[in-house]
Parts: sequence; C-alpha cells; structure tokens
Amino acid sequence: MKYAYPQNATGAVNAIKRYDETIDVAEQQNQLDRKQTVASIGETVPMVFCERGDFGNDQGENGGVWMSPKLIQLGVDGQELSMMYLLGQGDLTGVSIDQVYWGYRKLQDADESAVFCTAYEIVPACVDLDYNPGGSIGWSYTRIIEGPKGEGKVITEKNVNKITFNWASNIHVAGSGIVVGGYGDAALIYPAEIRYKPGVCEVDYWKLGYFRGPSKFVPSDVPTDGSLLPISERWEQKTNEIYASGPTTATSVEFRYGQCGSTDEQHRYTYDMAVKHHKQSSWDQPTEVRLDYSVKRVFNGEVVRTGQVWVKDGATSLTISGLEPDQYEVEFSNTYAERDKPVDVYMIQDPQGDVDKFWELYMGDHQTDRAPKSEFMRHTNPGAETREITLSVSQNIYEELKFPDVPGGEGQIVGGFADLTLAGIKGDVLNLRPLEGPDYFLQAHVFIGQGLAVERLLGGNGPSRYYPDLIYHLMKETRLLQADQIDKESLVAAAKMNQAYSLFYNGILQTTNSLAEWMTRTAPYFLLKPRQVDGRYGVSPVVPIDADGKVQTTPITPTHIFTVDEIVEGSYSRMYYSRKDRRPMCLVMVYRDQPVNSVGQLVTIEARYKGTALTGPYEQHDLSDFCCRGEHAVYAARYILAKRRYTTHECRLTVDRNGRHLKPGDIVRVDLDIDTTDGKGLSDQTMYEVQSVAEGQVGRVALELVHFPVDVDGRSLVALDIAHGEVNIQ
Amino acid sequence: MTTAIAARVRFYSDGVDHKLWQNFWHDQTVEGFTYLNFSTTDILLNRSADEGGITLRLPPLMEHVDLISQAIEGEYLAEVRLYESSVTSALPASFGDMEQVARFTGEVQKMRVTFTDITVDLGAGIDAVNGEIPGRRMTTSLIGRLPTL
Repeated sequence: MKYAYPQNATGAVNAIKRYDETIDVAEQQNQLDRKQTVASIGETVPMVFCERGDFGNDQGENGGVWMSPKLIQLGVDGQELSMMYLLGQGDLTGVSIDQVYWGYRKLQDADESAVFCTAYEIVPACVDLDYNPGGSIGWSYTRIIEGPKGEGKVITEKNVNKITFNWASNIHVAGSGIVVGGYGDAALIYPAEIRYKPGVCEVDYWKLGYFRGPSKFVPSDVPTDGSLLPISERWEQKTNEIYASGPTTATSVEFRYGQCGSTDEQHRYTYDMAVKHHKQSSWDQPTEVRLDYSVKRVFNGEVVRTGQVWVKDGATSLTISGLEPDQYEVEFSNTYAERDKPVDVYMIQDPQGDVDKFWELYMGDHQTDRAPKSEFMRHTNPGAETREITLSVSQNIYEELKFPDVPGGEGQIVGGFADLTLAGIKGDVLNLRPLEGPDYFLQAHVFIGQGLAVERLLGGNGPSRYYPDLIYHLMKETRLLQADQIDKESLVAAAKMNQAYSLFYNGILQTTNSLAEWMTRTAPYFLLKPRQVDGRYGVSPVVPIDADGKVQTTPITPTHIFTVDEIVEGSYSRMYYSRKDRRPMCLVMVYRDQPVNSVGQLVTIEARYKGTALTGPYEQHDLSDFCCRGEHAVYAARYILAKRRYTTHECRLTVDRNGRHLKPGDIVRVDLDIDTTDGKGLSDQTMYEVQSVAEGQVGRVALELVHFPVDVDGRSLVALDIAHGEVNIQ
Repeated sequence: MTTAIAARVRFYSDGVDHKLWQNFWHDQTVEGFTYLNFSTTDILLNRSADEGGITLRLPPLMEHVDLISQAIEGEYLAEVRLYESSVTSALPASFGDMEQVARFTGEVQKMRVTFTDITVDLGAGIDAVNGEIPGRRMTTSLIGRLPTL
C-alpha cells in the first residue's frame, strides 16, 4: 500500500518523539532561561519559512515564528559583550529589538543599553567580535557576599581568582587605674617645744619628718617613726613652701603664734599628696585583633594560601590574589589579641629617710604625664573590650572563553556567511550575565515575521507561508531536482487550495529530513499528498477541488469507469483494512499559538466524531512545527478522521491501454457484475482514487487504487467532512 | 490486431539536446531521433515522493559509455516517451502517427556496463540520502570557528 497517511498505528509515539526532538517549540515555553546553545559544526543550517500577515477568512493577523538562534561567534571588550547568532538561510528581514528576548525577559529589559542588529552575509555592524585562535578572552566581575563576624568560614563562587576581604570593625578597650603611685605620705609638722624669750618670741619647731603609712597610697596620721629634727629656718621656709604649694587637703590648719606666751600650742599640717602624686586615669583605646586564615579549594581541599591578618578598629582590607579560577573555602580562626599590658605606673621611690629626696620626689611635677593615651594601640592595658566585626567578601569572578586552536596554523576564523542571515547582540556583560541569576549566558529568542524569500507559486518573490512554495523551493533551490522534474502545475493548484482554507506554514526547518519522508509526513496536514507523474514530482489535494480551490462537495465524476471486460484476467484483487486500524479514535492536534509579543504557546485540541472515542484511544499529531492556527489543525483532523472512518480497502488491477491516461490522484470507478457457478459474484460499483500507474511496453497498465468513499449522490464523504465536518472539537 | 510500440529517449541539459534515440524505425532518423536498439523498463507513476525511476538498456558500445559518462557528470536529464498505434495495413511513419501513452523525465544517475549491455538508471525518486532537506550544514568555512561557552 502506498498512500500518504500522516501517521501509522504507532504514530502517536512517533509524534511525541518528534515533539521531544523539536528544538524550539517545546523549549520556547518551558525553558526560556536555559543556557545559550552554541552551534555545532555539521548541524543543519536553519531554514526559516514563514510570513506574518492577514490570514484571510476573517482570521486576522497571524504567523511568524519564534526561534532560538545558535551562537556562532562572540567577543568581549571590557564589559562590552558581543554575540553573533545564525538566524538562517537567505535574507531574513524585519527583526526588531522589541521582539528579541534574553531568556524570559525582553533584551532591553535585561540591558537597556543593549543593541540588536541583523545582516545578510556579513558580520552585523553592531557587534565587535574578537577571535584569537588558541587563545582566550576573559572578563571579570565582582560579587559581594557577607563573611563571618570574626572566626568562621566563607565559600566563594566558582571561578574566583581574587578575593578581597573588607572588615568594618569596632574594637575598643576601655579601662581605668592609677598611673602614678608611690608612698602615701603626710608631713606632720608641729612645734614640739616653744621656748619663750623675753622680747623675742622664739619658737623652736620640730619636724616629725615623713612617715610611711600603712597603705601605699593613703597617708596615716599615726607617726610610726622618725625623730624630731631641730628646726631651722630652712625648714620653716620649706614648710611655708609646702603650704604655699597648694595642698589639696589640710586636715588641720591651726597655727597660732599667739604672743609666745603659750607653750602648749601645737600646730599641725597634714598634706595629702594623693592627688598630686597618686594619679588615677582612664582610657579608651582603639585596637585590633589578629586572625589566622587559610584558603583551600572546595573541589579537593587543597590549601593554597595561609596567613595572618590584623583586623583593627575601623576599616581593614585583605586581598588574596593570584588564585587559579576556582571555588574556594576561606576559614578565619585562632583569634589573638594583646590585652595583657600592665598599667604603666610611676612608682614614687622611697625617700629612705632623706627629707631632701622626699621633697624632690613628692613635690615634683614630672610624674603626672603618665596616663595611657587614647589612641590606637595594638598592645593595650587591660580593661573592658568591645569587639564588633563585620566582613564583606568581594569576589573577583573570572570568566574565560577559550578559542580552539586552528589546526595547521592559520585557518578560517570568520566564515564566509554565504546566503546566511546573522544577528548580533551587544550589551553590558554584567547585565547580560548578571551577578544574580544563572551562571551562564541566557538563550536569546527572536521573533521572525518574514522568513526566507522564495519564488511564490501564486506570483512574485518574497517570504511565503504556503507549503507548496516551500516544497518548490526545496526541490528547486536545493538542486534536489531539476526544473523538468518538478510538477509545478500541481504545486500551483495546491497553493490555491491552501490559500482557500488558510492552511499556512510558519516554521523552521532545522533538523535534516529526507524530503520524501518529510513530504509524506507533513503534506496531509495541508490536505495534500505527494505524487510523481511522468518523472515530475509535486503534490495534489487529497480530494478533488473545484475552481475556487475548495474541496469538491458536489458529485464526483470519475475519470474512467472500468468494467470487468477491461480488467486483465487474474489481475484483480481487493484488500480490506483491519477494523482495528479504522476504529474510532480521538485525535490530539497540537499547534502553536503565535503572538508577536511573547513566545509561542503550544495548544492542543481534541477531535473526534460525536459520541465516539470518549475515553480513547488517542493519537497525537504534532503540527506545532508549522501550524499556528486552530482552524488549520481542525481541517487536518477532519481529514484524518474521515479517511480513517470511511476508507475501507484498496484494490489492484491491470487493464489495457485504456488506463494510460490516468494519473495518480484521479478518481475512477470500477463496476463489477460477475456471475459464478456458485451464484452471484462481485457485483458493485466502487469509486477509487488512483495511487499508482505502471505503464509497461506490453500494452498493459497496472493500477493501484484506494477506496474513495462517496455517498449515494456520488459526493466524497471525506470532502464533505473536511468542508462541513461532523467532528466534535474540544 | 497488432500494436506498434515505440520508445524514444532524449538526453539534454539546460534545454540543449545531446542525443536523440528511437528504437522503432530501423536505421532511420525520425523527427531527429536516430535508431538505437534500446529498451526501457515500465514507467511508474505514483502518489509517492520516494519512488520512481526507470532503467534504459543500451548496446555496449564505447561511444555509449562515453555519452552516459558525460551525462552523469553533466547531470543530464533523459526524457523517455512511449508511443503506440494499432497496425492495420502499414507501420506508422513517424511519432505523429502514433499516440503517446507514457512519458518519464529523470536525471541520468547511474550506469552499469557489461560485455553484453549497458544499463542506465534514470531519475530515481527523491531518495533519503540525496534528498535531505535542508541540506545545508554548518561548516567552519561557512560560519567560522565556533566559540565555547
């Protein structure tokens, strides 16, 4: 049996497989933000065949196709990224940046500075490419993350080659203490004896001298040692000087000279020298802590750097550079701080009974400048420590693209781009490969409204949406066939029929197919069948059409009526199809909704005869490669269901030269009226469609025929269902 | 009733004829077609894109080998036509006296030579190997050296 049928019994599985293998359609709506695909040497150059425009039949504007072009070249200059894509064969025009997506976002939403351009056979003007065979291009960007607050670990991103740690810290030590200390002392001076001399008030003073108090700093009023010293003028002066020097405290100021008539008066001074000689001070010093660090590869734990860093109050920075691009773990540990410095106290020496030393040591001013300074000190006095550390880690992430070496030295760096349309995108690498988000270049998506320019069978040249135009182009331009081998007339008729029903092709051929297999598989979706007549290849409608290009729903007049007398004896046979192959079923038709402002969405419709196959079986037909209109899918479904329902058998027979004028696609009738010895034999009149005609040189023509079901009026049942289908669509 | 069946073949390219043969009128040139004792297989017309083609059988002359070799290299087309007519009193004198019953146009594709004959394959169908679409492939000479991401 050789007739075109969209799918065999396992067609649904095949359809799904094809669906899975279809690059764009499935992924457009599922993985828009996938990684950009790079072209592969040897793969098929896409052929974009579409034409967006008014579909006619009150269906409005439709058509065009979204594609995800393959990357073929790139360049990076600083932060400026240029990417060049292959759109397809021929001169594709009318692609605007408004219809270019970067992942799931419009390109200009991802990078408002981005530009887009296309060019035919040359590098697009908007891109700046660089290619260094055997070399590489690289660029860096920074990603900042939070680090540990002191000790702890941080794991970098991948491909980090430099890490900068920036600490912002509040590290202070505050305390207080005595900074000058010594012997607490008091000078107790009193007259031990007053001697009166007439006319002269002469007083003998005795100085108890100094004494050591029980406390180091606190003076005592209990003399414990000493001896009376003869007073002298010098001491009197000293005493006055002491008094004049401004003691801060005086426990007793009672110094009466009287009239020198009294001998029991005592005069005692107590000098508390604590303020002057026992200085209390407080301090608040900014300081620092020290951390050990180690840098090791996450991949294998190899330690690549170790060291120490002092983190001081305020800002501290540490840069670890020269790393091989990799992912690292940095650990900070072993915090060390120097807080054990004692208070620097000036100790007043013990005068050892020497009054002069006492005077010199205790009355001097040199001890009072010993307070700790409130400035940065690594090694500080003890006290209360405030330690607040925050760390931001600035990672320098290095991206590198390597260019394969050119075998043999100089080679082809940039292609010839013959008959190719290329697209270019240039933008900021930091926007197009953002710090936040996927760690790869996003796939670009482009809407192409006008595809490859071809010779139009219905007139003119330019983009087309007619399937016969595509076939004609494939046959002619690809040199698969010579002009004399192409049945152009049949293609023109087919184009008219497709126009009448708005059956349009808007798709991309980007996987290699056998033209014969591809035509056999896809033509029925356009209500066509491939055929070869006189060595010329073309297509013809699945049922006869009228002058308007519509399927003929009036009675069919057969091209020829064969009778038993014309059939070569022994050549006739009739083969009926299995009922299993004709069982009612539900067709799941998949097509592509094709808005211009967003990527296409797959849509399915279920088609079945009313009341049949409510629970299956199901057969899926994937038209999403080229169909973007539901009505188109419905027409195809009606044809497939009707053919399956009504076509019951096929027939073979051989006739004489009366069959020589027949062509594949012609409708014939075979009238049988046979009597046998056992009774009435085959007696019916059946319409057939000619499938093949074999012309021999012995005067006979062998025909292969397929049942062409008609109603009682001779109208094609398949044509009637195509035109006015009883098919229930959901 | 006797039926006369004649075949003729025309080798051509770009509208230029290279050789015209007929196999009916012995030692005659009829309408430009010289006589050659050749035969063809049946001509098949069908509703299929992947079948078709016929075979010519020629005498094993060196000039025929040269011609067909040239035809293969030059991608010549060969147009084969079958004619017939009923013979009642006299044989037809030209193709105009006969009725064309079949025609086939195909590319000269293959030749097999033996000591006894030459068989030539004409215009096989759009086979799966040579008929791949889109046939164009990405090559470095076309698109340059490819980057890696």
